[in-house]
Amino acid sequence: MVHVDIPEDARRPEVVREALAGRVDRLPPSLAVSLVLELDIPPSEQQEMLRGALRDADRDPHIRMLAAVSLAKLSPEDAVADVSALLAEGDVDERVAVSAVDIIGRAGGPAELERLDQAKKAATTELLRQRATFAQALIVHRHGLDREVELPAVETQPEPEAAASLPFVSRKAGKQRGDRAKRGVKEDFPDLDVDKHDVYELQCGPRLMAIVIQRAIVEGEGGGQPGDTPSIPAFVSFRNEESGDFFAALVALLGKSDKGGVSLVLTRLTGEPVFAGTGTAGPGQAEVALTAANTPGVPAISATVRIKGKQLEITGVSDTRSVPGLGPQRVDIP
Amino acid sequence: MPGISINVIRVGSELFTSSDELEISNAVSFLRSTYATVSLALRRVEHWIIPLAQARGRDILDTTGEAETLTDEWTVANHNVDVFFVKTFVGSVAGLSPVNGPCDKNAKGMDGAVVEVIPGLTGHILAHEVGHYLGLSHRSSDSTNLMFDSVPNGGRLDSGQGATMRSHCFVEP
Repeated sequence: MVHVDIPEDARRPEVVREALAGRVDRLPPSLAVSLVLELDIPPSEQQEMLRGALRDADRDPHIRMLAAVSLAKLSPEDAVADVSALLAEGDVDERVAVSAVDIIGRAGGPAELERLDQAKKAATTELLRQRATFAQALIVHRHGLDREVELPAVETQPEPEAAASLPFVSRKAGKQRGDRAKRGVKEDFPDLDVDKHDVYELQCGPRLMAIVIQRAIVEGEGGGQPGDTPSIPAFVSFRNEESGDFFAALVALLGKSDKGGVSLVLTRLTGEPVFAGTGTAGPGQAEVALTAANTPGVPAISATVRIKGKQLEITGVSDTRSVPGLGPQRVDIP
Repeated sequence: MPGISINVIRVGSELFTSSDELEISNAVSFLRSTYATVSLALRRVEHWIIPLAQARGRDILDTTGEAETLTDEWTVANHNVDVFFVKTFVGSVAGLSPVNGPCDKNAKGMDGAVVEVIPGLTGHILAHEVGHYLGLSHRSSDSTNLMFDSVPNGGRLDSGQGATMRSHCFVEP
């Protein structure tokens, strides 16, 4: 990882304003957007600068997308209102709309479901339709709404061959790494209540993963039958090996299965399925068998998720190789 | 002189302007001349594109996770380092790569380098991230070194770093 060292004299509101308009050679607009949150000005002024960039249809869509993401970091609630209003006006560049529905899915409430329906209907690209559909699934699961949602279709891989597989078993995380894992999830899902989640870790090959799970699910508190209504019992965050920080990587969507038990699908934050399975669950106990989705870059796994005796246990094996990535198109030197 | 080869992969290829192409070309030249100082040649440079319609929104990377996912989702089946050029990487982070990246590009985990095109800095970012892929860690106390943790920097490599890079499994004799 490498950062850009931005000169001190560029960290001034008047310079950043000019840079956002593309008028400062040494400070491209993409860097200027990220600088807004570091300026020594009131948050309301930061918001005003970012809103200006988001709403300016003449700007590069990338800059508008970055402005939306920065607004969400500053105030998720206000950002949802901003991007929802933008979608309501219609005629928004679809790449900007994709960022908007992503923000709504991670931080918006049930009132936004209708707006997402409208975004889907107006979409001319499959990408926007898919992301808006996934944003609806996130809202329904985050808020435990009794509403049918379309989940990503999962085509599973065969289980890994025993000879080429790595075993793994989860353990409870220590406080320092646990807190970092929760912080990583909260950056993308701002309404995560860190005090109501515990963290378990799982080392599989070089990758340290943290499972940030609702304590009530593990300890059988809070009443209700897991899976009766859609929920997000857990997130998975990955450790960045350079910085030691964690970033949210997967979200676990729990619901009822067709066979009367529970269904668990883990997806990337952009909705692509990664692991899926079915099983049984009751207060303070659960057992779900997971396999991997046939998604590029995902290794085959065979895993069992158990909740028993107020502990989470995940055991299984993983292939050492992944489903091959897609191939880019070869071109002559432009 | 031993050498490496790279795949230059443009993510959201329609977005790359002629000045971006010049920036990438200059970046490749910077990598070539910097690595030559430690007796590591740049052999083949192969060019690839991922059009916007197939990039699934990864032309703008708003999280570290999305950068990792990009390298998992796309792979060129050859013995070159995959370098994904994007127009925008959110925040002040301008590049990402595993340290001592794998030569089996279907192995678990991140298996390519990601580089943001930033005028005047892309060469440093490219050489830094490919340096990571070839086994180099940060030199946080030496701002003259290419592996200092921010750019711009002095862009130098020492003989020990050269030896580390030349021992990577992607290096051809």
